[in-house]
Amino acid sequence: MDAIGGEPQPAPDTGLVPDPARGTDRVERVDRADEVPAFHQLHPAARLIWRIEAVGWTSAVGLGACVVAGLAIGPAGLVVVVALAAITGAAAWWYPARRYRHWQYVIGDDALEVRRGVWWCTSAAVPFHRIQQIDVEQGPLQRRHDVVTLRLRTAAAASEGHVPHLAAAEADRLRRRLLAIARSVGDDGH
Amino acid sequence: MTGTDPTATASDPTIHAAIEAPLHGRRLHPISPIVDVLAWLPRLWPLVLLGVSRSWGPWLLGSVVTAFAVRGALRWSTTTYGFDGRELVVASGLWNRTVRRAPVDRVQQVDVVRKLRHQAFGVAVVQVKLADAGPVGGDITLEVVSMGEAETMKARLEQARRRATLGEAMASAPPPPEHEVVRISDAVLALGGVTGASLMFVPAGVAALASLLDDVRLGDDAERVAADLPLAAAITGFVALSFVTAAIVSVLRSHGYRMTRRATDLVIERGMLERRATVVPIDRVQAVTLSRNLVRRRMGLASVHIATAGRLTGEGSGSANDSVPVVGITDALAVIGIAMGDRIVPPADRAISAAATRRLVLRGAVVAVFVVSWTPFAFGAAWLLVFAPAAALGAWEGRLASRSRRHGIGTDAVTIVRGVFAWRSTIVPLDRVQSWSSTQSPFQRRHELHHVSVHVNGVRTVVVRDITSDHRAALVGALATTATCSDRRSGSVSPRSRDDLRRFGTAR
Repeated sequence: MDAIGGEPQPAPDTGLVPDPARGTDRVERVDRADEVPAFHQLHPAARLIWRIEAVGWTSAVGLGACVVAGLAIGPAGLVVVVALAAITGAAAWWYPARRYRHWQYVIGDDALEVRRGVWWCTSAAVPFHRIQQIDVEQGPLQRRHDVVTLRLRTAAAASEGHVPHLAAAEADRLRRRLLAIARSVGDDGH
Repeated sequence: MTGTDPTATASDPTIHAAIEAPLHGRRLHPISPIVDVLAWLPRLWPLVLLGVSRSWGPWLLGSVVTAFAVRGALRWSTTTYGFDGRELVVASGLWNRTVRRAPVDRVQQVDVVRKLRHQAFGVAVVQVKLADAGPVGGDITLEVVSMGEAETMKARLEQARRRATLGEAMASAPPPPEHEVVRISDAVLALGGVTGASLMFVPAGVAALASLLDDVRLGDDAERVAADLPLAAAITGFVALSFVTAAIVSVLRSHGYRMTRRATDLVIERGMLERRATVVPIDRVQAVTLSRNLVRRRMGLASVHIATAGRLTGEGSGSANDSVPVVGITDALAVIGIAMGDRIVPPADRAISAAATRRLVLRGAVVAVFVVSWTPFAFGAAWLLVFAPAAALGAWEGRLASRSRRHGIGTDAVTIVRGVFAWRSTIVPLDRVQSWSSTQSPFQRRHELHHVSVHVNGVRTVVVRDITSDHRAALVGALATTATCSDRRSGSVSPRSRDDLRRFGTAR
């Protein structure tokens, strides 16, 4: 079970290894010669929260499908739906771990960069001087584990600058740093 | 200001005098409640029908119209506005008072719009488009004010924005004389109507007519109806009517089209029933799109769309509201050159790879087969034969799409070309890019292909599709370089090259 303060997680298969000096959710790139910035992983509670959300949705949909199949088709349909629900439930348990391993972020010198996605891999960058607004959001599950979602908004509505499930203290530190950077860079007024 | 010409310029001495007068606590024009009711009348046509068909109908219609008039009067009495040279302030609302403040450096463009009802009363609507959409919308609309007030407001906003952008000294200097960039005759507009999106009226109309005839012929006296309605003649007449309609609509939308450059602004005037004068500050341009469909390419015509952060330069989207509805390709490139300022427009000289072409062809074939996959179930197993031509058609479409899919990366901008029959070339200045992202599907990972999405304010995300890792690295490198280069944001870039523009135009 994933929880805050758990054991350091094994490094993802991206050339990153854990950095005990910087906390359980930090990793440092081994090869520093290429000057690629060190990407960090999310808080380990992200896996648990994603699992709870996925299993919750799967259970709700599966239960509804079971009722419909049982009433409309009969026992045979019920068996098929239960089998499908079991497979989907297993996927809902397995997928968040993979998603967690592929979700990484880094606060570089000029931009926030994120990497995410299991099948469809996305890497995004939000330059600091484009940041218009910084939101910190916290849902019920996140409050339980003291993590937050940091959302960076630019003037473009489609920007993808958000980092989910950060430790609250870390998010606050990042928010202050980003605000300081944004102030120092200034705004060009579009 | 007593004139009713929305094209009056800031050089008018009457306007100059009015510019210096303070604008505080102004009210909308007293006629605004009546214009408000007129705006709602077209939507009340069921009540109008009821009003003439029932004895109590006139009372109902009168009550509703009175309610709208009272609403308009309340809106007029509770709305005030003012402009102090730095920000536009609009206060409105009876129960919930809302005060909107728009700093002049956030103004993206200013429109003065005169629909038919406004022309009848000699009034106008001022639309101030802002960069920040916010929860209450991206525009501040003064509906309605007198023509003189509209021109004064527009001139004051232009001057204040120029002062904020250029500084006091340069703004107070006499502006350079304006010069005409493009003027479009009604004949060219009509040609644009029958070669543009309005042409879609024709197949839609023919389909509707065919459906109507089909329904009629299913009746009991089908033979008599068929004899009365010769199909070929009906369709021919309808097609001709649709062409004429498309031409007339185009002329009505853009009659008297004229684009002029006034100092650092582009001023666009257009429209017959709805007169619109739009001021687009060149330094607010976020992206420019050149569109050419199959017919227009053959005729050497194109349309240009200039997007600012204040959403679009017309209302809504689509070719009907293009900044330049239809013009020769040379003039279109000249407009792009002006709209891009001093930036160099890179030619779209990077084609997609062979793997990307294969992906497009395969995807086109699969999608086409999927689209017709229902036919065997509906019409019998013989329709399985449709799959082969459908797949061939889809593959051909994919092949065509791959030919047009190109991009170019320059020091100041990126150019992205896409489309199958209608080609759209979008030019995004690098210093306007807010953020970017790169995505790879499992198939793309196998072939080292990427989609790169470029996010720009006020413009739908521009996606450079299926580019190789090398091209992706070059594009992301250019974006990252601009993101760290503050000099570029101040616009200190090298002059635009005519040769580059020419290559951009002929790269297709």
